[in-house]
Amino acid sequence: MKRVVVVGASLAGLRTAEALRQSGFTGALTIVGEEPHPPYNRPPLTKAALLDGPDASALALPHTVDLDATWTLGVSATGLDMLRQEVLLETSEALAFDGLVIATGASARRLPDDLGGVCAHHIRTLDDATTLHRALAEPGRTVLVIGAGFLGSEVASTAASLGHRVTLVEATAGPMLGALGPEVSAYCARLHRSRGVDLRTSTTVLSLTPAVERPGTTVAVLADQRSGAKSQVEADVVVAALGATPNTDWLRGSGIDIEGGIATDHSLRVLDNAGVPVPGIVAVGDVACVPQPLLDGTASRVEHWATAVGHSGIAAATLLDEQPHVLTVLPSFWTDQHGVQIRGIGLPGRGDTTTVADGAMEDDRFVVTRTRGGRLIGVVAVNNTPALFRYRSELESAARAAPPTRQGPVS
Amino acid sequence: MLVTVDFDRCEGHGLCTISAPEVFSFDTRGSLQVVDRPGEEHRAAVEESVRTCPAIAIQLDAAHAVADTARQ
Repeated sequence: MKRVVVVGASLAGLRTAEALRQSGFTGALTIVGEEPHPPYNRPPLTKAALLDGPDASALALPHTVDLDATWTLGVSATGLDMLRQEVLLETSEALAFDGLVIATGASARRLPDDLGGVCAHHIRTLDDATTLHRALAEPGRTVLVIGAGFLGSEVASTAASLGHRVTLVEATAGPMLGALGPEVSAYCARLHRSRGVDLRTSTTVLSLTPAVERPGTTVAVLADQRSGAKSQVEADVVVAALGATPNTDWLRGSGIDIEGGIATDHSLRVLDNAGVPVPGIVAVGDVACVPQPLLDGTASRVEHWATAVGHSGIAAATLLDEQPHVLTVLPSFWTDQHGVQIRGIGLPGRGDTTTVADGAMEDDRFVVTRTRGGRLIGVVAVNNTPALFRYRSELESAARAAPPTRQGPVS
Repeated sequence: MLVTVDFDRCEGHGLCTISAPEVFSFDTRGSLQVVDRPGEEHRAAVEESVRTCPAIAIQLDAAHAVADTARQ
């Protein structure tokens, strides 16, 4: 292998480039990134960096390997020609490769313009965080956060800690419900409310319109899905945190399966439209839709920091035709809200039964195990991270024991 | 080799205790303990910890850390 192109200059792309060099790859390495910034760490963008103002140098991801790479930043990839083995750039340049790493990540799902999406901040990039930080710098604002997933909940927590009046709207029955399960979600709902956040669950936004009398203010019309009742909220700052969609548009028509992310096999080789692995092309990080051993091989995207890092070693080994040290990545994630540390491993949101295994929710220090069909599938620890580690090996062996066959993606 | 942890940044993920257990560990109260001058044989493991720390809290042979130590 002589020429590797990495499309995507964020965590997954950077770590895969490092893993390639560490595995002895000495050929030409080109890293293409849509954003102008060198790779930076995104998790602080809704927490410390939103509070203090993002500092690009403090957020820069550290290298431990001399990458000796050509960086092409601020340039989008627009296409892939699999026959000629070329990546096409918006500059009309074509980059020839014999190894390709697709690490284009995901973009914030935008609130549609007909709902008033232009009134809302979205948060994904350093520039988004800078803009939102400025909007929150003025004291005593009213803030409406739409979507109580991890990011929306963290933004609500940060805004509340700044003394703003925060309304947090969630379409499902609870914050982070899909990731944590109902019991921990209910705990997080109580936490939000105890810190003064006006959390409205099972509630959707019907419209956002600029307030006529108060320029700069937005009027949101909300609907409670249980009662059908409508209500109005005025906000100085509106943030839409509606999850993310994989950045696959540039691969449309390339022959790669981009249904629900970039389909890969368990070695992260991408699949073509016929489901056949494509040699020399891997996908990593948020964009990759990978068979999940904990879900009996069902393919899913796992948008976690640790997944991006975990993919890097597997992808590099696959490209270099070596045996990876680690065969699958155990999902793990974290969130910090209202001064509470929440850490999870596995896929607790996919469980069907919850057990408090340690501590008590009312003490704000506990561990919850989640099982699916009687089998451990995930663990969540609140203010008790060390207790999580004893479950790690059990989940890792559960993942190893599962069949590596691939099943189609689930949403 | 000099290992420094920025405890203002550390969020207690503990991934370093997995990648380099000889260097990083939790004490019984859940506080992170660090061997700040481990032997060279641990370099690869500590580099792994640097790369996998979600809080970017670990530095290896950091220039300013060396300077700090020299001042002490």
